Amino acid sequence: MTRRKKNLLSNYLVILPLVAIVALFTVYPVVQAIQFSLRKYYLIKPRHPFIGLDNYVSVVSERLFPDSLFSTLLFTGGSVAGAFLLGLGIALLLSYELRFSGALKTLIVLPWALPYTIGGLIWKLIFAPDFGLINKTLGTLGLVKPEDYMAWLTDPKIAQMAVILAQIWREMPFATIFILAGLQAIPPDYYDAVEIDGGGAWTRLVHIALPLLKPIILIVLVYETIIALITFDLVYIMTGGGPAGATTLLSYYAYSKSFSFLNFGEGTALSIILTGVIAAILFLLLKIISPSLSKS
Amino acid sequence: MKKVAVIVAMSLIAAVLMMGSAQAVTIRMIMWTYGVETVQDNIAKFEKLNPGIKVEAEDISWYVYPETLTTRFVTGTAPEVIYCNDQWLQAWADAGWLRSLTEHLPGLEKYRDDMKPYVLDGLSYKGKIYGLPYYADTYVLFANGKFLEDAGLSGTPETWEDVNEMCQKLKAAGIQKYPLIMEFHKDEHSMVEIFYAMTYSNEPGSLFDEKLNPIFDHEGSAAHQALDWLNKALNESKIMDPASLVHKEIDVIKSMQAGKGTFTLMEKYTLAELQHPGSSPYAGKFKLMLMPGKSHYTVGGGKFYALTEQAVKTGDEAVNAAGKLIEYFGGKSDGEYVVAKRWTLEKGLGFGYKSLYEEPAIIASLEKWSDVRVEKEQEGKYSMAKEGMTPWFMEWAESLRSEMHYMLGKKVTPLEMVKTLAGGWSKLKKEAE
Amino acid sequence: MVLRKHIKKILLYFCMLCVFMFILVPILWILFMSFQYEEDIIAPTFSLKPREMIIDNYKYIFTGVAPRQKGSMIRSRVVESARYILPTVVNSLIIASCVALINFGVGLSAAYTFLYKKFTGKEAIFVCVLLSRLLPPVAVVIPFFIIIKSLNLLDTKLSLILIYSAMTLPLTVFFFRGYLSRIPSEVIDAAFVDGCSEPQMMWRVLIPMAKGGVLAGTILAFFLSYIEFLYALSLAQTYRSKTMPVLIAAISSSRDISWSLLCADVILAIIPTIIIGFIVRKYLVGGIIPQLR
Repeated sequence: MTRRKKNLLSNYLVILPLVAIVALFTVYPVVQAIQFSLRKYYLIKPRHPFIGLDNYVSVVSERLFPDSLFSTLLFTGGSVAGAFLLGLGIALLLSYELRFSGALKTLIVLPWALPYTIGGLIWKLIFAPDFGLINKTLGTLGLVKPEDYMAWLTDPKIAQMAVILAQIWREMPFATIFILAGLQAIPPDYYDAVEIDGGGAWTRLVHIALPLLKPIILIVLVYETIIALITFDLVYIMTGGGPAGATTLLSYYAYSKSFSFLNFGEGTALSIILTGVIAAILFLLLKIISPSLSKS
Repeated sequence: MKKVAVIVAMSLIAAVLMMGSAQAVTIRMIMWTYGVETVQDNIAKFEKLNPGIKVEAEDISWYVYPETLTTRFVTGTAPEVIYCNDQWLQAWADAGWLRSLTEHLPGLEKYRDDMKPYVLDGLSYKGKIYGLPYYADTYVLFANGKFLEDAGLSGTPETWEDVNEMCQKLKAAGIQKYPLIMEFHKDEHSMVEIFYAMTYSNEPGSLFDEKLNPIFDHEGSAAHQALDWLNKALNESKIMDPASLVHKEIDVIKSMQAGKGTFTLMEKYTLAELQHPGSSPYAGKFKLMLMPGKSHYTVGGGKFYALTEQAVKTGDEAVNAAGKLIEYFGGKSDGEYVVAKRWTLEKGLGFGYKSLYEEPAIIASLEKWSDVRVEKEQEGKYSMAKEGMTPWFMEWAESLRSEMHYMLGKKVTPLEMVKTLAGGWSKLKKEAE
Repeated sequence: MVLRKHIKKILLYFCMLCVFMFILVPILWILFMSFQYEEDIIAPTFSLKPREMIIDNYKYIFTGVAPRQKGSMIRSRVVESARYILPTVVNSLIIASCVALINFGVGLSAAYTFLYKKFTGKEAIFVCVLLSRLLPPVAVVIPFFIIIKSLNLLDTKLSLILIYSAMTLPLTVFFFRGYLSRIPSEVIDAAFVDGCSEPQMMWRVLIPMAKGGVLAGTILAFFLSYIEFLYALSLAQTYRSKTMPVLIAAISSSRDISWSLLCADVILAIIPTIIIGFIVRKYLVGGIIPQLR
C-alpha cells in the first residue's frame, strides 16, 4: 500500500469511532422517528398502520399547538436574552477585579452544574404557595398575611415568567464564563486607543469589546437557543406544563404526547416540527449575527 | 457393603440437590409508593408462611405509575404481580398484559360474593375477575368542624347550593379566605373521580347510556351542573382556593392541617389521616358528611392486586406462587382478611369486602375518626363504580384533566367542556371499533 | 471626583452582592431545609427564634432510621428510594467520567484529523456530525430504546455511556477543532522535524499547548452527561444503572416524601458537583481564554 493510501485509510480509521457512534445514534433514530410520525403509533396497541401526514395535521390543529408555539418562542427569547445579558453583566462586573471576584468566579458554575430536575425542583419550591421562599419571606416581613399567600404558579403569566427565570438562573453561568474568557483575551492596549480619544467605559464596551466578542457571542447564543428549545425537564418538574397549558413548551408537549398519552405517532410528529423550528431559528440567528464573521 | 453405601450417599445427595432446585420461586411485585414499610413487613410475614416463595417488591411513584408500567410491559420487563386500578384494567387486559384469575387461578373466584358491588365492577372485565382487592374507597365530602362551629354553622349541607352558602358565610365571617380546597393538580388522577362523584351526586349513572354513548353533553346535565358549580366556586364566588390547581392530595392534606380550607372532596382515607391524633391542631374535629346533591350518590373505586402475563409466561409454578401472594394480600389467610384489616386499622384505608363491616375491631377503629352511620349509608346505598371503564378510558381521562384546567382557567366554558369531552369520547370509541 | 469613584465602587459591590445572593440563596435555602423538622418547613412564616436543627434526614438516608416528627402522621414521611441517592450519584459519576474520557480520546483525535488531514467528504461529514446535535431527545428516545434493546444493553451503564458519547462528541469535536486551529503550524512542523511521530506529537506538543481548551471541552462533556435526564429515564430502570437526575425526579413526585428528606437528597446529589466544580473552575475560566481573537 502506498504511503498516501495508508494515510488516507488511517484518517478514516481515526474518525471511524466518532462517525460510527454518531451514525448509529443519529441516522437510524431519525429515520425511525420520521417513520413513527407517519404511523398511528400507540404504545399500548400492537399494530401501527401507516397514515401519512395525519399526525402532523391533527397535532397542528389542536387548540394547544399555537399556544405552545408561542410560549416556546417566548421562553426561548426570554431565557436566551436574559442569560446572555446577565452573563455579559456579570462578566463585566468580574473584569473590574473587585475583592470577591475570585469567590464569585468559583461559585458562578454552580447553577449550571445542577441537573434540570434539581434546578426546576428548587425553583418550584421557591414559588410554592404555602411555604415557598418567596411567600414565607414576604410573610415573615409582615408584608403579606399567610392567608393571602399567592399560588404563583397557578397564574399563567407568572408561571411563564417563573420558568424563564429558572432557566436564566441555570444557564447564565455558561454565558458568563465564555464572555469573561473572551473579555480577558482582549489585550489592554486595544482599550488605550479609546482612552486617548477620550472615550469612557461605554465606548470601550460597545466599540471595542463587543465587536471582538462576536464569535463568542455567537457561540453562546446558538448554544443557549438550542438548549432552550430542546430541554423539557425544567418544565416537567416545575409546572408540569401548566397552568392550563401556559408553560407547555413544544419539547414538553412532545414528551407528554409520547409518554403520558402514549401516542408516539403524534409525539414524534411534534418533535420533528420542533426540529424544524430549531433549524429555522438557528438559521435566522446565524444570518443576523454572522455575516461579518468568517466562522471556522 | 461399600457399593450400597455409595448408592445411598449418592441418592441422598441427589435428593438434597433436587430439593434445593425445587427451592425458591421468586415473584416480583410492583406497587405504587404508599406505606412501603408496611408492605415489606407483610411480605416478610408471607414469606415465613410460604418458605418456597421469595418476593421482590419495587415501588414506583403513583403519578407516573401507568406510563412506567406500560413501558415495562412493552419491553418485557414487567413483574408477576402488580397493583392495578379500575381504570387501567381494560386496556391492559385487552393488550394481554393482565391475565384473569378466573382463567388461571379459579380458586380465587370464591371471593366474589363478599366484594362490595363497586369493587367487583372495578376488577372485572368481560365477566372475568382480574384481581383481589387491595383497598377500596369512596370519594366523600368532609369539613373542618372547628371552623363550621366558629361560623355558627351546624347541620350538613343537603345540596351543593348549601355548600356554597356555608362557604360564603365562612368567607364573610373572615374565618377562611378560601373555604373550599381541592386536589386539582394537573397530574392528580383523582380529579377524574371528583368529577364523577359530583356528577353522580346530581344524578347517578348519567354519563353514558347502555351502548356507552355519551349523554351528558347538553346544558343542565348532571355533569354540566357539577362543572358549572366548580367554575363558579373558583371564578365567581371565589370560595375555592386558586392554589388547588397546584395541589396534589398530599398538599391538600398539609394545607388542611395548617388550617387552610374547610371543605374538600377526597378519598375517605384522607379523612383518617387528618383525624390522626397529634397530626394537627384540628385532628379529631373533621366531620364526614353524606354527599350533597339530589341523589347523594358518590363514586367508589377499588385498587387490586393483578396477575400479569409475565407470570403465565414463566410457568405454572410462577402462577401458583403469584396466586398465593395475591390471596395473602387481597384475600384471607387463616380465615381472616389479614392484610386488608391491617390497612384499615393502621391507616384508615377503605376495604373491599362487605363482611368487614361486621367486625367489632373494624367498627371500633372507624368510630374513632369516621362517622360510621354516614359511612355505611354512603357505601351501602349511595355508591357506584365509574361508568365507561373501557380500553380507551385512560386517554379520555387525560383529556378530561386538561379540559378541567382550561375550564377553571376560563379558557372554555363548562358547556364547551362537556361538549368537547363527549366529542372526544365518541371519537375514541369509534376508533376502537 | 473621588466621591463619584466611591459611589461607583459601592454600586459595583452592591451588584456583586446581588449576584452572589441570586446564585446562592436558592441552594442555601435547600440546605437549610434539609436540617429542619418537616413541621417547621411547612409553617407559614420563618420563626425568628432559633429552630431545632436535626440531621435525622441524613441519618435516615444512611441508616434507615426514620426521622423524628414534631407531630404525628399516619402517612409515612419517608420513601425507601430516597436512600439510594448515593448509589445513583455513583452511577452518574461513572457514566460521566467514561463519557469524558471517550470525548477526550475520540474527540481530540477526530478534531485533529478534521483539522489537519485532507480527505474526501471531510467537510460534509463534519457538518453532518454537527447537525446531529440539533435533534430533540424526545424524538429519538424510542428508536434509541429499540437499538439498545436489540444490543441487549437495556438497563446498563454502558448504554448510557454510548448514547451520551453520541450526544456530546459533536460539540466537543467542534470545540476542539476550533481550539487546535489556534496553534501555529510552525510549532507542529518543528515537532515533526525533531522526529516525533504523530501520536507523540499530539501527546507532547498539542495537548500541553491546548491544555485549557481540551480540559474545558472534556469537562463540558462530563457535565452534560452527568445531568442528562430523558435518556436515563427511559433506558435505566433499576438501580443497576439508574442515574441521579432520574431518582430525584421520581422522589420529588412521590406521595409520601417529606420536603426535608427531599432537600437532604438534593444536597447529597449536588455535593459531588460542587467539589468537581471547585477543582476545575480554574481551568474552566482559564482554558477558554485564547479561544478566539
